[in-house]
Amino acid sequence: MDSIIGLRYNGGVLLASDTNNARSILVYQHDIDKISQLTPHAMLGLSGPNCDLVNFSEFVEKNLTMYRLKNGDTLSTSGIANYCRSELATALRKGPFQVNTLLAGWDASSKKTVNGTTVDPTSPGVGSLYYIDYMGTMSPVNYGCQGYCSNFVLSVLDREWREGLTKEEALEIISHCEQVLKKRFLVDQGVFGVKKVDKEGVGVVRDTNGVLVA
Amino acid sequence: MARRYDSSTTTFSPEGRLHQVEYAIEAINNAGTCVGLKCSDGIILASERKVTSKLLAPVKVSEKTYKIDSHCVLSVAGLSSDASILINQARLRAQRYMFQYQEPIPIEQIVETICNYKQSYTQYGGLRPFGCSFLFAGYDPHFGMQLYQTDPSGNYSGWQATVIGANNSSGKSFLKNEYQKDDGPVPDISEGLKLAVKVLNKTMDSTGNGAEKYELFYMKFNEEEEGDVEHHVLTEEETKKVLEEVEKEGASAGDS
Amino acid sequence: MANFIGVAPTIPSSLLDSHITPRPDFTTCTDPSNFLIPNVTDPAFYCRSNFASASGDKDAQQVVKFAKGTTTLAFKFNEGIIVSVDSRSTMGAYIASQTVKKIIEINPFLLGTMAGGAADCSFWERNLGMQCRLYELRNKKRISVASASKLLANTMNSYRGYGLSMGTMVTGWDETGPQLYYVDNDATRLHDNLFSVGSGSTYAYGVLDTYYRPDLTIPEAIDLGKRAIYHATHRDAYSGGINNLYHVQADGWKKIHAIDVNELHYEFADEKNEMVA
Repeated sequence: MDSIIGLRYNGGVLLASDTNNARSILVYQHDIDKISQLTPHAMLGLSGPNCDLVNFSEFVEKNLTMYRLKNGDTLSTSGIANYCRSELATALRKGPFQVNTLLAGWDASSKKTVNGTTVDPTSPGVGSLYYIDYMGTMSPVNYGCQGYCSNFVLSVLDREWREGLTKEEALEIISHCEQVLKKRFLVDQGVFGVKKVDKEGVGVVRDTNGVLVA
Repeated sequence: MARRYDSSTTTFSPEGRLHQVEYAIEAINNAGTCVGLKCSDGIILASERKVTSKLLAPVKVSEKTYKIDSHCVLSVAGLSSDASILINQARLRAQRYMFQYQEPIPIEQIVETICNYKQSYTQYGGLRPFGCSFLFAGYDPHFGMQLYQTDPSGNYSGWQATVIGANNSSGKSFLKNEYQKDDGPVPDISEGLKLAVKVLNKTMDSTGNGAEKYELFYMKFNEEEEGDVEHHVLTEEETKKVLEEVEKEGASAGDS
Repeated sequence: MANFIGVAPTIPSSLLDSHITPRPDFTTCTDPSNFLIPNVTDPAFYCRSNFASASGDKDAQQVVKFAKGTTTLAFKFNEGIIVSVDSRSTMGAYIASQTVKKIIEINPFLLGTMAGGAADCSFWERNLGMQCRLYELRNKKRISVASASKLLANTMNSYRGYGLSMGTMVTGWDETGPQLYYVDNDATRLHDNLFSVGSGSTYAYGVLDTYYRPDLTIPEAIDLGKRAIYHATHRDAYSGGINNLYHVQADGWKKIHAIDVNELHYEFADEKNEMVA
């Protein structure tokens, strides 16, 4: 019953997720964080069984840290996405990671140095969002969601998303999505936690208790 | 005394040296010379072809410059049979990286892989070090155009301009004076090609060599596609033209 | 109960896989990766079909039936942690025991609770106790509750699909203060202030959530833990027996009481009658 929603805005990406942890008919916890930070500029929203969420996100995060230590530079968002995809695809035939994910990341530019010159440091950079499911399907998207919530909120995102949104407008869309779920979805999704990634890195916008962070 | 430690690469001599590795490095100092130059609009690799016999079929495109991936090439000084093993490894590494991340491998990672491979041959028993050094030239979005040199011990280093192979020290000292002379600008490719030929002329044994003895390569930024590079090995005609220009400059410099 | 400790279980020949492959001798279970598993080609499948997970009626056709059916609970409050459990063990409709110790004393600062397969819980929590002791010897300090629960979750993860049945709360007091984790056989590991596990947990949650406050006094907290278990045993046929209750504080855990829930029934009934009178 996990819900993960993500959308790109100008210079960044927002990810929102519900904070419930349930098993059969019982909700065990109401403030779980399903969005994990992978690198200073990338985060992964996950849906699936708790142990797979933890194991997969820790596995990827640790490997990316190792990449950074070994090679002195972090992988681009598309590199991370392809890495996640191939790990999921490999795992598929040997006791899979049952996780559906949205990967959000930020890069200074689609190409860090162009013709030898570093890109304009004042540019807001590019946020990118990838839809990756447990079978290893991956596609770059402007907005997306994972879980039952997609039945309700994809239409809202289709209607309201456009290129060049501000962060405030993007947050407004997230709150529209929450309202639709609250009104029409049988399962109470509780509080949504929201995180952003932009030039300044990954940050909490609204924590898992629903408190807005300045 | 030293002789006892000559045949085994894995053993230090009492002086703390690894003779076999040193001999391998020495062997390359007699091999055909390779010059690498970073330019304002690209990067140049120039090498000396050793023509051993008139009867040998002429090289079709290149014999010392190898494409590793669309953004990376290397040129070889030393045993080309040893080199081809490493070139295969480099290509494999580049494609595996592409398979994993769907983006081109950063240049330094290929260099590091190859150097780790070379190093392992200086430590495990019953092996002989690779008898070749490389100049790696390539482009990646992290650090732009890059030039690296490797040696049989597994050491590598990045350069603006460098020489490996026979007479590399005289080549290097010539470059030290001529590359960015009087704090001048980094040469462009057409200037760089001439400079590279001049270096080769210094390091080669004979003078007045024909175009078939030079292998000139450059990689430059693609003007249409941002961040993309194109490769080119100069044809015999093009090489001749560069040689003529160098000769002309030499003559006029001699006049003044 | 299938006994996996040391001795290989006797398995009816009809159940054995026809392609038996020789396996190394796993008779000494001193580390979690060295646990005796059935001597068949696909041990995970074999376990799944014969000792399937304990939830629901999935074990109706199982050859081996787990002793299970439980109410356990634990909650954190300002004065520490209360851990309270029942003591009934059932095998289907049969009450196998009324005096099971479902709170496992891992070490003087760590407690684990037992729900699901009795053997799995006690085996893996003793195993956890061993790992925690080794940690203490190697690192010259007590293991944190976070690490201890992660060890157990990692063990569960490595036996996923093997049909283990365990729902446990790992609690204790470490350098960071009182801590409470939930770990189960799916390798789920959660960190919160309040958990209840077992077939009676929904009843216990009803009482707990209604009366829980972080600023409960110690007697109030003990009373809440006791009442929540009583009400669960009253409604859940698979829970009953004795209420064991522990209190965890900075100086380690302390056993508070062991009261027969029948006594509690009359005690609480009298209390209500007095209120009416």
